Amino acid sequence: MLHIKDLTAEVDGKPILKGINLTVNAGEIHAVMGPNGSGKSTLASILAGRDGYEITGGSVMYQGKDLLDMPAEDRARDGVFLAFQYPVEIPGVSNIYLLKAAVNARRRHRGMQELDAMDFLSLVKEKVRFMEMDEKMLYRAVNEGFSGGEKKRNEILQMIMLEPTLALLDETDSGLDIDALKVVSKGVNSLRSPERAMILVTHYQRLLDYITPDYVHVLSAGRIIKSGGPELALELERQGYAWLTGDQKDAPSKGVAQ
Amino acid sequence: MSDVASQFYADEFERVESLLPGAGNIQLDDQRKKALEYFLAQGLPTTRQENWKYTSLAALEKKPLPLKREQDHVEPSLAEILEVAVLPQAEHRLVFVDGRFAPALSKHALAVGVRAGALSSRVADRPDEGLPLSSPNHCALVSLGLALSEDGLDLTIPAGVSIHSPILVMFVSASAGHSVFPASAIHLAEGARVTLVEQHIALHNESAFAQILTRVTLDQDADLTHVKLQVEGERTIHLADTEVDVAARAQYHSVVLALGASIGREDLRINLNASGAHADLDGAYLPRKRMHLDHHTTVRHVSPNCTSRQSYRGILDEAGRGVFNGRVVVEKDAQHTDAQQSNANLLLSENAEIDTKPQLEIFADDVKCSHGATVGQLDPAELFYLRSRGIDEAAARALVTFAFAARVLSSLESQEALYSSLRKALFTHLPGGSVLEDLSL
Repeated sequence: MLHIKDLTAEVDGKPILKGINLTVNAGEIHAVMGPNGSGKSTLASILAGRDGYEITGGSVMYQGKDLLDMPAEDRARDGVFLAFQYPVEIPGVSNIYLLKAAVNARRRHRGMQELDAMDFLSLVKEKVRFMEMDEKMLYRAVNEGFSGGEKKRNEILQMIMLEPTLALLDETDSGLDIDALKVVSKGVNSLRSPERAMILVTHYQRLLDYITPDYVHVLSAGRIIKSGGPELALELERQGYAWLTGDQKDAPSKGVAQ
Repeated sequence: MSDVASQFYADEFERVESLLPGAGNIQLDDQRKKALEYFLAQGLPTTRQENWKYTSLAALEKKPLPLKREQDHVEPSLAEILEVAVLPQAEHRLVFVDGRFAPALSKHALAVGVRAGALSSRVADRPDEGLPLSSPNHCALVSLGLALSEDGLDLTIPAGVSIHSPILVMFVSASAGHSVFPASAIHLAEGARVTLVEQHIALHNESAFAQILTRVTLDQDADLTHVKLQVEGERTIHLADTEVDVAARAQYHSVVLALGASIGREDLRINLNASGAHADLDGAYLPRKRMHLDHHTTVRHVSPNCTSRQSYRGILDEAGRGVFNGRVVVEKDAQHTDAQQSNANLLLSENAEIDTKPQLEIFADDVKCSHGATVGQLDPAELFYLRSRGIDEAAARALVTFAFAARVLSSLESQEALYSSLRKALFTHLPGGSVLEDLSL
C-alpha cells in the first residue's frame, strides 16, 4: 500500500530525514518509535502533505500513486488520515460542520452519494457515543477550548468517521491520562481491518500496550536504525534509546519508566 | 458657498421644500431651513477634518445626485422585493422605496398600540411636534438629512410589549442616479422588546447616494436588537448616522454587516444615560474591489454601572479599504463602568488597507476598560488542518475567513431564521464564499 524509498527531506536547509525506507502493507500496523528530534513527526507530516518541508530525494508511492505529488486534500480524499500531535483550534467552525464537509468530500471522491443530514447525524452521534464524548461537543468550534484529552479523542472521532485507508497517528498518546488512552485505543482498534494500514508514531511503549503493532521501527537522526516485532518496543522500554543510538541522553529517565 | 454640492442641494431644497411632509407649518419649515443653512455653512465633510481623515467624499462633491421626481417613480413588484429580502418570511415587513414608504409592499400584524409605519405620516399629522430627530451633535450631513428627508421609519413600541418575531425594514434603491435621505425615529417604551432588521439594498449597480439618519430612544428596561444589513450596489455612497439613548437597565444590541456600497460610512453613537444601561455592538465589514467601508463608534458612559462591549471584524480583500474608529468616553460620574472594545482584521490582499484607531477617554477613576486591535492573515496551520480532512484549499480559505467574520453574529444564534439568513448573506459576499454553499448543514 505504501512504499517509502530513500526519502530525504530538509526544513530550512537542515536535513531531517536522511534516507527512510519503509513498506507498509494493507492490514498492518507499524509503530515508528524514536527519541525526540529523530524525525518521526516530520515523516508523518510529509506523508500527510504539510507545507514547509523540502523533499530532497527518494519517493513515496501510495496505492500505486506518487503521494508526494498530491495536494494534502487529495491525499485525505484518497484515504490518508493524519491524527495530529497538536490538533488545531478553528474558532467559528463547528465540529459537526467540519465532519460533514470532510466525510462528504471523501464520499464524493469515491463516487458515493453524499450523506443526507439525517443519516449523517445518526452516524456521527453513534460514533460520539462510542468515543465516550459529549454530543454537545459537535456544536462547539473545532478543538476550541478542548482539553488535551478531548482534542485527541476528537482526532480519533474524525478518523473513525472518515474510515481512512492509511492512518497516521502522530504522538496520539501524548498528554493522555489512562482513561483517555483506553478510549483512544478502543477507537483505533475498532478500525483494524485487512484493508487498512496504520502507522503509529510514538515516543513511548505505553500506547503499544493497548494497540499491538505488527512491526516496530526505531528512527534515529533521520534513519530507521532497527526494525522488529512488538518485542522491540518492550526492549526499548527496558533499555531506552541509548542502547541503539549510543547517546547517553536517550537513556531511560524517570519520566519514561512506569 | 463655493462648492458644487452645496449649491446643488440648496437648489434641490428650493425645488422640493413645499413637497416635504408637513410643509407649510412654520415651525417645521423653519427647522428644515435652519438645518439646510447649517449644512451650507459647513459644506460636505472633507479629509481635512479629523473625523473624516480617511474617508473622502470627493466623488459626492463632484457629482451630487438629485432627489427623485414623482414622475420617475417605478415601484418594484412584491416578488422582486421578496426575492432580495434577507428575511422573506418575516411576519412584519416595512418597505421604503427610494426613501419613501411603500404600503403596498409592506405588511404587519403588530399588537395594538404599536406604531410601525411612515414617519412622513406622523410629521404630516402632527407638524407642530417638529421632526423627532433632533440631535445635539451638529454635523453637516445630519443637517442635510434633516432638511431633505422625505420619509423614514416611525416605530414606537409601548411599555411592556414584547414582539417575538423580527420586524424587517427594507430601504430599497429602485431607480439609479438619486439621493435619498431616510430619517427614522425608533422608540421603545419601558420594558418593550423587539428585534429590528434593517436592510439597505439597491436593485441596480448604478450610482446612488443615501444619507440615513436614525434616532433611537430606549426607555428603562427596554431591549432592542438592531440588525443592519448594508448590501448596497457597487456604486452607492451610503452614509449613516445613528444615535441611541439608553435608559436605566435598558439594552441595545447592534449588529452591523457592511457588505456593499462603494463608500460606506457608519457613525454610531450610544449614550448610556442611566445606571445599568448596556450596549453590545458587533460589526463586520468586507471591503473588496475598490470599496471603502468606515465605522465610527462612540459609546458614551454618562452614568455609573453601565456596561458596553464592542467587537468589530474586518475582512479586506483586493484593493478594499477599511476604517475603524472606536471611541469610548467615560464621563466623570460614570464610576464602575465596564467597557470593552476589540477590532480584529484579516488582510487577504497586499493592496487592502485598514486604518484602525481605538480611543479611550476616561474621566472617572473606578472603571474597567479595555481595547485592542489586531491585523493578521489566514493562519496556515488552520488551513492545513482543514485540507488534511479533505477540504480543498479554496474552500478551506473561505471557511476560515467565514468563521472569522461569522463570530459577529453569535449573539443572534438563538433567533434561528435570522441567524441563518445573515450567515448566508455573509458568505455570499465573502471572497470565495460561493464554495461554502455546498458545505452548509
